[in-house]
Amino acid sequence: MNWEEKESNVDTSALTDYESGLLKERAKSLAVPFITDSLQQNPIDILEFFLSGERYALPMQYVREVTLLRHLSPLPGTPDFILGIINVRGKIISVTDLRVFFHLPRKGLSDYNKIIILSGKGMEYAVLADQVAGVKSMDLNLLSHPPDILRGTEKDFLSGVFPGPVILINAELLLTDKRLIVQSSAIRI
Amino acid sequence: MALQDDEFLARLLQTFSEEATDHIQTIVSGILVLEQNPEKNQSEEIEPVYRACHSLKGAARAVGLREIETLCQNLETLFSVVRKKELILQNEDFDLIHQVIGVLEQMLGGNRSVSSVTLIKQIKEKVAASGGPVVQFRSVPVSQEPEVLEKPPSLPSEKDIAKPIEESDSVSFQGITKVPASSIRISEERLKNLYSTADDLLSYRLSSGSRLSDLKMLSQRLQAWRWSLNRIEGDIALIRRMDLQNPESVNRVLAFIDNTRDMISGCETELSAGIRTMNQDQNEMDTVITGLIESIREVVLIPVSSLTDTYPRMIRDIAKEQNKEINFSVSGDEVEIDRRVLDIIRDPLLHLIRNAIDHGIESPEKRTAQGKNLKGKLSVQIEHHRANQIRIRISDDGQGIDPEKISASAVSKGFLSKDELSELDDKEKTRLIFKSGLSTAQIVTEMSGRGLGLAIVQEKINQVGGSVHVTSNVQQGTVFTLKIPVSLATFRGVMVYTENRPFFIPLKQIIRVLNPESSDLSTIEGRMFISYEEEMIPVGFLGSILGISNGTSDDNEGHSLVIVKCFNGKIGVFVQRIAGAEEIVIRSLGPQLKEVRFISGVAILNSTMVVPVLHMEDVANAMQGQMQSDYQARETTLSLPGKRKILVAEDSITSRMLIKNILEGSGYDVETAVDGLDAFTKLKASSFDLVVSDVDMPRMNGFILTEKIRGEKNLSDLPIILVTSLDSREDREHGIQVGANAYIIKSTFDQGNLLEVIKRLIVTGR
Repeated sequence: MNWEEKESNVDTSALTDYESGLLKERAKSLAVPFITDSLQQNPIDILEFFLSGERYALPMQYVREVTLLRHLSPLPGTPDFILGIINVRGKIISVTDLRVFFHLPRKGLSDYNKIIILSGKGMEYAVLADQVAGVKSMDLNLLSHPPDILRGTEKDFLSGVFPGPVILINAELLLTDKRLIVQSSAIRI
Repeated sequence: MALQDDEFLARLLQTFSEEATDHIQTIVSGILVLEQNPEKNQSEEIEPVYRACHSLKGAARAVGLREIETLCQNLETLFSVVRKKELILQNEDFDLIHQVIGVLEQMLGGNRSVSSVTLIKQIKEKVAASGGPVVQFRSVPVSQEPEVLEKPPSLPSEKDIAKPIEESDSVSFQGITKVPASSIRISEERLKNLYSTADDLLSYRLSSGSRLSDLKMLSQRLQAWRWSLNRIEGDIALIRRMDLQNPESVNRVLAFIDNTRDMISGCETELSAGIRTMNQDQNEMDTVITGLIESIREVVLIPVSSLTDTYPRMIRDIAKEQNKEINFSVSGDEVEIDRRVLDIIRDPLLHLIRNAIDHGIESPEKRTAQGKNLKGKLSVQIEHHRANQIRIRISDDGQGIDPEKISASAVSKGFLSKDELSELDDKEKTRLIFKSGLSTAQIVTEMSGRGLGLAIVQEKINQVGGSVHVTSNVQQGTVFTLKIPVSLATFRGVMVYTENRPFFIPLKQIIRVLNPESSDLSTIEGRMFISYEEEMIPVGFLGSILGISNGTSDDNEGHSLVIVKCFNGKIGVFVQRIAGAEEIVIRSLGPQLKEVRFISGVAILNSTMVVPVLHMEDVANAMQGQMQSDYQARETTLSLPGKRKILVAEDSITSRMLIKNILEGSGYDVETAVDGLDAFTKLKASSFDLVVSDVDMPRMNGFILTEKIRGEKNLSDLPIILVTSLDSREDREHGIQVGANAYIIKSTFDQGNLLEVIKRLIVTGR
C-alpha cells in the first residue's frame, strides 16, 4: 500500500476545518493500531462516507479522488441515477446518485455534497456523498452478510456490513455492472 | 539580390515540381492503359502521353534541369516513333518506360546520384531498331545533345531539335508559365483562411437575423404606444377645450405632447422603412452568403481520383517485385472529398493496398493450384454512403485472414489469454488484426509485416472521425470498409438556452433563425408546423422535446425558432434565446455514459462551464415519433405574440363560465381556477398574460392571491384584475394596496368595460 499516493489523492481542501480536525484525530488514533494491524487477519482499506445519514464505505482500491461537487451540469436523456456531469481538471466525469440504488430518500443537493471518484476495471465515474468521514483499515473477517430483508439492487451492490454499522459497497460490481452504464437504445441514423 | 534570386529559384522549382508531378502522372496512366490493353491503337492513345512528355521537357528546360530535359527528350522521341506507327510497344518496352519514369521521379525528388546514361542508350537503341530514315535522322541530333546542352542554351539550336517533333503540336514552348487552363493552384494556407472566413460569415448571418427580429419587436412596442396614445387623444382634445385657470402651463404641456407625438411618429416611419430595406438586404445577403459558402466548400473538395490515380503504377511495381500478377480496378473515384481528409487517409489507404498485395493475394503458382484465376483481383470502390460520408471498400480475392492464425498470434504475443480467446467468435478474432504489434506475415518485408500498420490505419481513420471494418473469408479474400467523412471542419456550435440551460447546436446544421408569429404556425393532426420556403417543417419546443421543461417558461425573452437540417429533413425548435456561435472541441461524456439520447458530447467553456452538444438527429426523431398533444401545441402557439392567455379565478361556476365565454369570444385563451390556491398553482405551472380573479373565494381569497403573485419574482408584473361584489372604498383600496391593477365591481359589470381594461393592461402592462 502506497500511503503517500493514496493520501495525495484525497482532496483535503474539500473538507471543512471541523472535518479535517476530525480526520487528524482519527489519523492519530489509527496510527497506534498500525502495530496491531498485523493482528488483523484480513485487512482492507476503506473510505467511509455518509449517504442520507447512513454510513457507507468503499474499498480504497477503487477510489481515485475525493472532491467537492462544483458546477454540476445535468443532462437530458439520462436515467434517474445520473445527476449530471462535472469537469474535473479538464476531464468530464459523470456523477451517479447511489441513493437511487439503495432506495434512500433524495434530499437534493447541499453545500456539503462531496463526490468520490471511482476508477478501475476500465471504468471511471463519481458517486455522490453527503459527507466523507475518512479512510480506515478494517478486518474483512468482521464483515457480516447484508441483512436478508434487502432486495434487488439494494442487496446486489453491497458486500456486507462492518460493525458500526458501516455498509461496505461492492465497488467492483458498481464499476462493471451494466445497469450503471448508459447506452441509450435510441436508434441512431 | 542574390537572396531574392535564390528565393525566386526555390519558388520556381517548387512550381516546376508540382507541374512535373502532373505530367508524369499523365504519362504513367497513359502508358498503363496501353500496357493493359494491347488491342488499342497505340499511335492514337500515345498522343496525350507524348504531349505530357513534351511539356515536361519544356518545363525542365525552363528551370535548367538539364538531365531531366535530356531524358524527356529521348522519351519523347520514343513516343513520337510510336505515334508515327513505326513502333508498337511491347512488354520489355513498357518496362523500359517505367524505369525511365522511375528515374525521372528520383531526379525530381532531388536525387542527383541517379544516372540516365544507360537508359538513354537503351531508348536510342529501341528507336534505331524501329528503323526508318526519319528515326535515323533524328538519332543524330539526339546523340549530340549532351554536348549541345553543356553549352549555354542557344535558342536556335534547341528549336532545330524540337522542330520535327513539334510540327503537329500546337502547344508551343512556354516554360513554367504553362498552367492547365481549367485549374489553378492555391496554397493550403489560403484555402484554410477562406474556409474559416466563410464559417464566420455563417454566424454573422445568424446574428443579423436576430438583430432584425429585435427591430421588429421595437416596432411592435411603438405600435402599442400609438394605441394608448389614440386612447387619450380624446382627453387631450377635452383639455384643450377646457377653460383653465392656468392656460399657459397647460398649453406648454399640450405643445410638448404634440411635439413628442410628431417626433415619435417620425421615428416610427423611419423605423418601418428601415426594417423593410433591412429585410430585403437580409434576404439578398442570405442568398449570397449561402452561395459563397457552398462554392467555398466545393473548392476544398477534390476528387478521390487525385489520390487513386497513382495506384495503378504503384500496384504494378509492388506486384512485379513480388512476382505476382494483379488486375486492379477503381470505381467511383470521381467522388469528391475534403483535401485535408484525403491527406490524412492517404497513408492508411496505401497501407491497406500494400497489405492486400503482400499478404492477401497469393503467388500465381499458388493461385493456379487452388483453381483461382492466375491474376489476383484487387479493387477499390468509392461511393457516397450518406450525407457527409463516403465509403471506401478495398477488396481482394486473396487468401483472406485466418482467424485462427490471428488469434494464435495474439495469444503468443500475450494480448489475450486462452480463456478470453474462447469467448471470441471469428469476426472478433479477425478484428484482432487492428491490435498493434500483431502481424501474421511469415516474413517481415520492406512493405509490411511489422505489425504496426493496421493499428496506425485505425488510428488515422479515427482521427478524421471515420471508421474501418474488416470482413474476410479464408481462401476467398478480404474486404476493408472505410467510412470517411467528406469534410473536416473545425466544429462550430451555436449556443442556445432553453429552460435557462445552455446547449450547443452544430452550426453546420442550422439553416436559419426565425422569430415567427403565431399566425405563421399551423397544426396538422396535433403536430405543429411552420411554412418555410414553401416547405412544411415540423416545429417543437426544445425544452419539452428534451424533457426538461418545467412548465414555467418565461416568454418575456421571446422565442427564437431555429431551423435545423437533419439527415431526414428539416425541423424547427423553439429556444429561449441564442447566445452566439463558438468554436468548440467536443469531448465524450466519460466511460459511464456511452450513449446518451439527444447528446453527442460536451464542450467545456471558460475551463469550467460544461455545455452539452445536441445530437439533432435524436431531437428530430423524438419530434417525429412523439405525437404532440393538443395542449403542447396550443401552449406554444399562445406563448407567441398574437394570442394572449388569461387565467380566471372564480368560485362560482356561473360567473366562471360567463367570464370565460366573454374572453374566449374576444380571442383570448382562457384557463380557469376554482379558487385562489388553484389559481396560484396554475400560475406556477405555466405562463399567463393576465389574471382575472374574484375576491371572495374559499381557501385563498383574491387579495391574498394578488399578494402572493406580487411576492413571486417572475410574476411580479403580471396584470391582475379583481372582480368583486364588495363595493366599498376600503376594499377597493385594499385591492390597490396588495397590487391589483384594476378593480371591477360585479354590480356594474359591463362586458365592454372588462375587455377594455384587459386590452389596456395586456398591451401596456407587459
